[in-house]
Amino acid sequence: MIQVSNFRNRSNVEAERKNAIRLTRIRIKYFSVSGISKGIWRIVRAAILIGLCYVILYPFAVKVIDSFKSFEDFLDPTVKYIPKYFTLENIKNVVSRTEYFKTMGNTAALATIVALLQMTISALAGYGFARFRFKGNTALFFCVILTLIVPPQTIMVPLFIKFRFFMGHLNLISTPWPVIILSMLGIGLKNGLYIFMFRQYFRNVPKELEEAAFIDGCNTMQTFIKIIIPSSTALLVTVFLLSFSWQWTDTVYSGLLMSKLQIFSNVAERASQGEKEIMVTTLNNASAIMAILPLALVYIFGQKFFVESIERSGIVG
Amino acid sequence: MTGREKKLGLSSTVRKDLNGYLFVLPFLIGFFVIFLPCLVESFLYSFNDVKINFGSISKTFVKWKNYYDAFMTDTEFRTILLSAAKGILIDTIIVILFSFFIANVLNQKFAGRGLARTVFFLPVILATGIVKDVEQSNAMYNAMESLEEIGDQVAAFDKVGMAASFNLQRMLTNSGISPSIVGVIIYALQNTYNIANSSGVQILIFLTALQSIPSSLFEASKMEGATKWQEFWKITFPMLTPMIFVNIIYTIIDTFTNPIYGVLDYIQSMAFARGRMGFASALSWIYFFIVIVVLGVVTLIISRRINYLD
Repeated sequence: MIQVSNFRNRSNVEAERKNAIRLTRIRIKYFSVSGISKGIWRIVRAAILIGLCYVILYPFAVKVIDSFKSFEDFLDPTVKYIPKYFTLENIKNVVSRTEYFKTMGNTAALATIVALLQMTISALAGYGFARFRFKGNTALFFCVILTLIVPPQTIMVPLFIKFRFFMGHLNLISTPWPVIILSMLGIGLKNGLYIFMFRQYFRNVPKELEEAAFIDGCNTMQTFIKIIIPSSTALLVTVFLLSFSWQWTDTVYSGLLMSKLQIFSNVAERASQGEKEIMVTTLNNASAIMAILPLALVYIFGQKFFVESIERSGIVG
Repeated sequence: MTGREKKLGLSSTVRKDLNGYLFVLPFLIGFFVIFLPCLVESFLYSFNDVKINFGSISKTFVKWKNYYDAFMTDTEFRTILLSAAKGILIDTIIVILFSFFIANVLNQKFAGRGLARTVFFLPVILATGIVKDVEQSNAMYNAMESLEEIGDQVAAFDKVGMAASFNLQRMLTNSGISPSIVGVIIYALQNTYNIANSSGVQILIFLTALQSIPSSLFEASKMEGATKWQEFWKITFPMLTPMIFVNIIYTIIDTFTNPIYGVLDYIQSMAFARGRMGFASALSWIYFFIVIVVLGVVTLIISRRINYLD
């Protein structure tokens, strides 16, 4: 009898101990000072992030919704966010007045060419600065930084004149050539930044790779093409995407040197010409949204790859 | 070695280094044939009164008149410059602090982290150029029409923000914080949209830097019993100093070339709308000079305090 009750007591004690440990763990995790402060931080963090995401996304959302509002919606004071008189008129307006698909084709083609050029030329230049100790390396790299620092307005006028009277008598204004030439020569939009990024990256590439290629008989250019390039795909893609996006949305060089060219940066405001006052802002908004829509789609579908590729590109550390 | 190189008597390393010129050749051409001449020409223009007549340019040498006019005669440049300077200074600091904070937050593990990172980087891709221009012209258009609430909902958003910030302002000043700091905080809140949009690249750089800190450091410190606070100040912060420096430089340059401060627009209108190109060149050189000075000062102050790992 005594043995049986002892046996029961022992298993009871076991179960009670396990229960007590479980409860203590819960208490520590959720109810101690560190548990509560972690919980508070989680709430605060969520609030801050949600708030900031709202701030960033709200203007886009407003512009998109506004694009579906008709004139009557703006007169009706009960309409705040959801358009009562849903219309596709604005979109049709933008499509026809900016010759949407033709413009999109032009913009895409130009952005692709420029991005490819900037990617290659910057990679070449970055490699040159990183791996070769030629005379004037540092001084010339300072010039690269200089091209970034100088505000475009400073060289606006001489640049315009250079391309207006290119080599004496060619007028290249409002052709795609000015931007193409600038990218080919490594001084295009934000080109200095790409050269800088490539240089930082190539500095961190282990020298053994190149030495192995050299021993195998490659000269410098062959080493570059066969060894370095394949191992830098992440950064190459990053620079390509950045250059593509910035060229797509660029208004500084596009407005200055190619203002009659039919690309999005130039035609965006055409949709709202001659419209009633209220509709001017709406059409401008619709126009802007549609201009960046292809880019947004590319970003949304490729964003995982894009953000990850920047993290993996090893520009840092 | 080929015969020719043997004749030149160059060692293989020097020969290899000369190849460097080949790689940077496109940039060399671009810089010395286009960029530098344009820079010099613009400098020369600033000392002239330049006009474009139909097929050519006419210049009349006026020495320092353009620079003198910029500060003494021109009614707007001084005011624009001063307000822009204030805005640029404050915004640069806020952007760096903000992006540092956000990068640290985005580095923690939580659900929806990938989505948050996507959203924060979005303005870099989409909110530049076209969208910015359209928003600026919308804002100006609405300001001229003295809007009520029709048309541009962003202005309504601003109004809500402004009402909220008045209350906050009163609350902060009453709690004893000095008014100038309160002013900066309020300014930061009202400008959240601008700040969030300008921080994308910086957040990315900080995030990448944070992820490159070897986790073994943190494990070792945990075993030694370091608190999170100590971990931050002894490990995270020192390892990030080079990237803080890079970000400061990048932010300064980015803010100075940001069109919303009005200086660049003014210069551009002066050159093209009003045709006073010599004057515009002088203005832009003044602006450029300020940028150089700021960058120089910042570099001098900070670069001594960076720990480099190589």
